[in-house]
Amino acid sequence: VTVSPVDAPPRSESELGPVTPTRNAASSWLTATRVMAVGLLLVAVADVLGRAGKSVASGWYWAGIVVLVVTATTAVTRRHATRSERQIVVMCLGAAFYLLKVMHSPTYFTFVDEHQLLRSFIDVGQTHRLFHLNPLVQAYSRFPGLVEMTSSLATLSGASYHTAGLIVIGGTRLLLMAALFLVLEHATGSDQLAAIATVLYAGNTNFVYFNAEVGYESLALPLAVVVLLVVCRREEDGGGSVRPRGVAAPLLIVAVVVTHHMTALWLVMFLLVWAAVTKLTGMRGRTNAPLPPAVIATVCATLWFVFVARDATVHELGPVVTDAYTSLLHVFTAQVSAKRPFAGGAGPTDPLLERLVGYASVLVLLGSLVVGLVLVVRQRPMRALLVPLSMLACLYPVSLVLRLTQASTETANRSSEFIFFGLCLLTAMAWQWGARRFLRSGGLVETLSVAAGSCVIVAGGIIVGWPPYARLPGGFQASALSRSIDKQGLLAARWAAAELPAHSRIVADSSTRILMGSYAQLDPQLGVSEGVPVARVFFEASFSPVARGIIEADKIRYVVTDDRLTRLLPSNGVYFEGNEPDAGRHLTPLPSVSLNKFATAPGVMRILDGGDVKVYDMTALLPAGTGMDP
Amino acid sequence: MTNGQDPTKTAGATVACAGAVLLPLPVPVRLVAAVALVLFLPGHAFALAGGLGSLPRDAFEYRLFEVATSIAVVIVTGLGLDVTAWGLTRTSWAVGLGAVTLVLLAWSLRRPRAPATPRPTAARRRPSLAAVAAIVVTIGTAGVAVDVAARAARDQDAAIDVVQLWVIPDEGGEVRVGVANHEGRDASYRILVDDGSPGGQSYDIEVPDDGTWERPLPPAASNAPGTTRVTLARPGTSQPLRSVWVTQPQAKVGAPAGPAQGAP
Repeated sequence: VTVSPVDAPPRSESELGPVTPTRNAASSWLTATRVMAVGLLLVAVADVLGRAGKSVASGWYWAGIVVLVVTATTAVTRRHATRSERQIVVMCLGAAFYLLKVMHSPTYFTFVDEHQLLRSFIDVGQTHRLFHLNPLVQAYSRFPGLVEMTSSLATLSGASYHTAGLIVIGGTRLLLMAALFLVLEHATGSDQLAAIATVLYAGNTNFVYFNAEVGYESLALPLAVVVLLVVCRREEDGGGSVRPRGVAAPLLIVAVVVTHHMTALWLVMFLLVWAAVTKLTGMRGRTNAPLPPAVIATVCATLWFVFVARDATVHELGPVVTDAYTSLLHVFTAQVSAKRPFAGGAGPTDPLLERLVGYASVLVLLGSLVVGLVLVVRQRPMRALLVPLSMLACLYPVSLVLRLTQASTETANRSSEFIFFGLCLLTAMAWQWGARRFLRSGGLVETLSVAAGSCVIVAGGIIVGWPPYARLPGGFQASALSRSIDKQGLLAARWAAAELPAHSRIVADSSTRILMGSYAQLDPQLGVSEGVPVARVFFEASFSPVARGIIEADKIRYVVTDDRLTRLLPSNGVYFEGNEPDAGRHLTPLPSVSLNKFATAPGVMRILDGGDVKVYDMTALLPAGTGMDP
Repeated sequence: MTNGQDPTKTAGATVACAGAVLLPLPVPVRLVAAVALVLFLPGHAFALAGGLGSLPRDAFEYRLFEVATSIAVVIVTGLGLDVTAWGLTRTSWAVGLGAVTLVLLAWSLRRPRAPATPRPTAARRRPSLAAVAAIVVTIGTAGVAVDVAARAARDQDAAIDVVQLWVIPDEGGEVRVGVANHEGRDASYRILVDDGSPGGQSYDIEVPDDGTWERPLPPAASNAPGTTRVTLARPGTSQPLRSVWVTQPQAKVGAPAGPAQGAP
């Protein structure tokens, strides 16, 4: 593997061989983007079929994905592709995958995190103030970057939060792809390698859906990569340059820090490692360009954590980490058996072919990681930026271990978008080395091999990271992420927003409580009440003293039930939350009597009957003036 | 690198956008102005003021940094507005972002105009008609894909028939009963009120599609405290569609004083 000097400008088009005529180059990327648009059309057909309940929908879906990835990979792998072409193609791929998510829920929010954030949007819209406690996710109130962006756009334009959020995240998706390409180009000195790696980045388990949601990480991550790009440019300018450096880095770092905790932490760690490597090893980079931004990021993140976001961060991330640790410990000490891959809840398991692709993607990534690491170690001279990127990639096997339990799988999924910054690059390096070693470089076989490999990686990322029931829209399913958000639940939530006092305490199933918590600004109660899981209020066969005790102790003013839970098993294994009876092991739907008991409970009023969704008023059971949060 | 932009033109655009979002213009017009004011102009002014230094290598990177710093400026401005007395309102956002942008532009006029270091940039080429047509086809195809998916989503929602019946006890002891029709067509319903009085009360209503009907129930004929049960059914049937009830310890709810809206 050869790299160009750190302070040299990116390789010009002429260095890559004979330059093809401009007209051909232009028509080439235009052709690629047109074909990618056709891929989007295939996914749109899959969405239509999925909503109609047709089983062939997934075939159309995967055909669309393959068209998108093969087209993009082929376009950027072509030997005579220009740098500009590659830039455009990777950005179009990012935009196409973003539109894929938009097509999934084009008319209103259906993803869980989006509804949880909607609560903060509405709070800010009504009070005109930030930092309101969001009972759905406390951290949202302490990391208000996305809330500010979306609120500003919605408030200024009069558009809905849905429209405003889509515009903000769509814009930052383009930023992410463009900046990632440039950072990886800086790391390798090759725009071709950078483009292939950027295409492979789409293979992280969260790229297609989670990081396309209107979520705070979706905004923070692109900004963090732009910070890295700033440092790259500072590093290039460092060799005796007197060029003005500007103040973009501190501004962008502040924006990242106030937008998302994990991204801020990742950025701090990355910059510190990069700065330390540059300082200690004297690797190429000469000036320690990463050091000032690393210091600024560390100080800003620490101050924000200590003075603003400590409790919210600990509240959100603490249980995730401790649960992951505890569950893994139980597996390693043989107290419980490891989770079966591709198993979770009562939803349909992935077809055999999809499971095979999932396994293949893991194996390809592991093999490429090993080869890529060897190539990095053998590089002379080695670029300092490659060290933190390689260290990130080395976390990939660790993330696979985390998939041994259900509790730690979330941690594995949530780390994917960070780990892939390094993993995609090492994979691309390994593939390029393999192509040059075993195939005729630039030939059709190389192009097809890279395209096939990219398909496996990207499809594998979707398969491993996102359950089959949530990839395509369709009919209602219980506890099935976006599939559990439908017109009935939305209408009930909108009714509650108009009729019920905000901040009233409620209990409801996992999907309904998010709708009620966002649109209606009610405060869902979770966890344990005086030693008893709150979810048990739904599992008692009668309105027993236990159920009544939970209502009274937690001052629950409204109970919202959904009769569909008595007909459907929970796709993700739990109806309400993880501490409910038989969580993850439900063999039959919730008994009707569990929900109907509220209809015969003394003093309980049914104040809404919306078909399946019903609202019961428990006010008569509570002391006067209680049942609402301040 | 200043990309050869004139700060005064940017100032004019900023004032125009800030003004547009404050006027009662159609949402699409305000949205265009808001996108410019939030995602572009602050970063553009930041770049003109020298905030980017020598970071951008070409026009593409220049635009990238403009958008990114624009987002950062909005976030920092929002934090500032939050501690003011005005908070985050439409006016404060428009004035705040406009002011920050204009201050940056004023700074760009004051700072010494050092000759920009020449950067390798691709020569601007006028796209051919065929290229423009191809881009239009690409965007059009993607637009059709999104439209197809959006229509399917709307159709799926339209196929779900929902009727809501509610009854709300107000603090004054009054009880409101309401119906919302989301069945995709105008519908007739019969409301049956069982307040303990002999035979109860019933009356027929018509509710337009996506419309609601609501009215208070007047004091009951019976003074006995107890449960008032309200049932919704199709006219001519006794099969209840929906059923709600309230328990009023001191309730005086009962038959409506007059015919309900839409009653025959």
